[in-house]
Amino acid sequence: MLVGAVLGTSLAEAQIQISRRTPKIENYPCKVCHGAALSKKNAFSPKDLERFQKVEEHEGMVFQHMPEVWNCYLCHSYQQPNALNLLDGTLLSYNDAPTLCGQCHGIVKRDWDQAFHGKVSGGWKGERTKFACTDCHDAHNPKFPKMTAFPPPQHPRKHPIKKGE
Amino acid sequence: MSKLEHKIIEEHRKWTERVQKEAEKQKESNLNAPFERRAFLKGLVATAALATVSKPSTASAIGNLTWENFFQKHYKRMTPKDKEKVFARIQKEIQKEFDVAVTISDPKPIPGVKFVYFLNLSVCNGNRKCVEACVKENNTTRGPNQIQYIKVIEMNRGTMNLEKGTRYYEGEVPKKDKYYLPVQCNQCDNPPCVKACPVKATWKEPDGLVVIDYDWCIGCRYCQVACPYEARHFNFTTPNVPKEEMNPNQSYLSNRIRPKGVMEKCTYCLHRTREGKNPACLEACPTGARKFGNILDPESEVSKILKTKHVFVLKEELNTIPQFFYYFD
Repeated sequence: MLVGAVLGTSLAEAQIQISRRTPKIENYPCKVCHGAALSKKNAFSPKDLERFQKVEEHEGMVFQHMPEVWNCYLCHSYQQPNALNLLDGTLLSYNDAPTLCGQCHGIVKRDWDQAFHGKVSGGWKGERTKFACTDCHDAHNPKFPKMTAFPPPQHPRKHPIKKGE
Repeated sequence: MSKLEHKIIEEHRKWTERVQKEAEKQKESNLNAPFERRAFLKGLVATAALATVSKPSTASAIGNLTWENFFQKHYKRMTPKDKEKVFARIQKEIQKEFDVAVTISDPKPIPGVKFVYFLNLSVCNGNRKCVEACVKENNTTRGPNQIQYIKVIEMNRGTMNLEKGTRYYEGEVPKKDKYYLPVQCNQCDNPPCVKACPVKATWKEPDGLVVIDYDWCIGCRYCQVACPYEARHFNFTTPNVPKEEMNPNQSYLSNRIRPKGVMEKCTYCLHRTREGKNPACLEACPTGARKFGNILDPESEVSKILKTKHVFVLKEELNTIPQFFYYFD
């Protein structure tokens, strides 16, 4: 029975695939510009962050995470430009970004692990894809953006049904 | 297992038993007497129809009274051969009226599956992407007499009074101190609309979906009055669907073009869900607030949500036993 339970859970997990993030940076690999690794992790200040947002390559980037989070190298690896790093320095692929987010956002991560939080696309059974954190949230500006709503239905008093319509 | 889960499974078991009993009863009575409506109509109007529709002719538009339409059987009594004929007729009618080649399918309920819907109200931001997708998927009427299955109600934060909410908000969402409550068909286990139908044109399927046979519906609108969720809509006009926006993947019980003068409603996109896909509203939602699945499978996400989250239903006091759950987290 235990074997069955283990098999059952592993099968269910195998059917849900987490969406891959690395294909998104295939055309703009970080290491093209950031070729050389930095020697020191903390050689960075909030002023540097302001400066970086004005640099052409990162022009559209808005950085509004927590006020305490201003160091790029808190998440991006300073040793290897095409990777992320956890707080303890472990290197991480962009595909494993949820692990990194879960360091601070534990409760949401717990819900996301069980597919309560976040979107699961592709069907209610069989093979399906679970969206990663950064599919919906901009990692640099994670608050879900405001959207323009699809137009409302016509108000029956403002648009009464005419005869013959 | 939680109390609510027990209750749901128990209700489903009771419901299945009741349906089986009714089916057996129906079988027995069928042997003795023919179907009420048909017998009635045959006896009264057949001669009149013979006079007006003198020879079998092809349908000129959708839902017109023709020989084939008039003597078409109830969906549940159709043999596979009958169905083939009827589907071919519907395809021909749509081809003639809209000049679009569509396929009419008839997916069957999957044994051991009961569909439920969950909606996370903390996440929903009221952008109505679900409404947009639903209109496109289900070929509902556009224009002045438009039909939208999903109503997104804008509510004041901290209140639960549906009468104080508004459906007609527009512009940027989410607004300050508001939350958004999408309402669609609840696919109740104790559906008042089904009880109200005088001709049995609507019924509950074994997988929990309440469906309508649009060709059997007489358009009396009793079900619309009976439904406490305003989930049923009436076709006042002939369908107004742009040709290029029509969804060609249609099914007899869900999203085929409805004739004028019949009721229609959300069916959880049964032409999609019975083939393992998600409903169109879920696939369109950018926030991930919607969760859909099989509640009888203990490993599914929806049964886990039912176990862990504090879920509620709308108008619980009416004992309609909805299968559409909401939760905050």
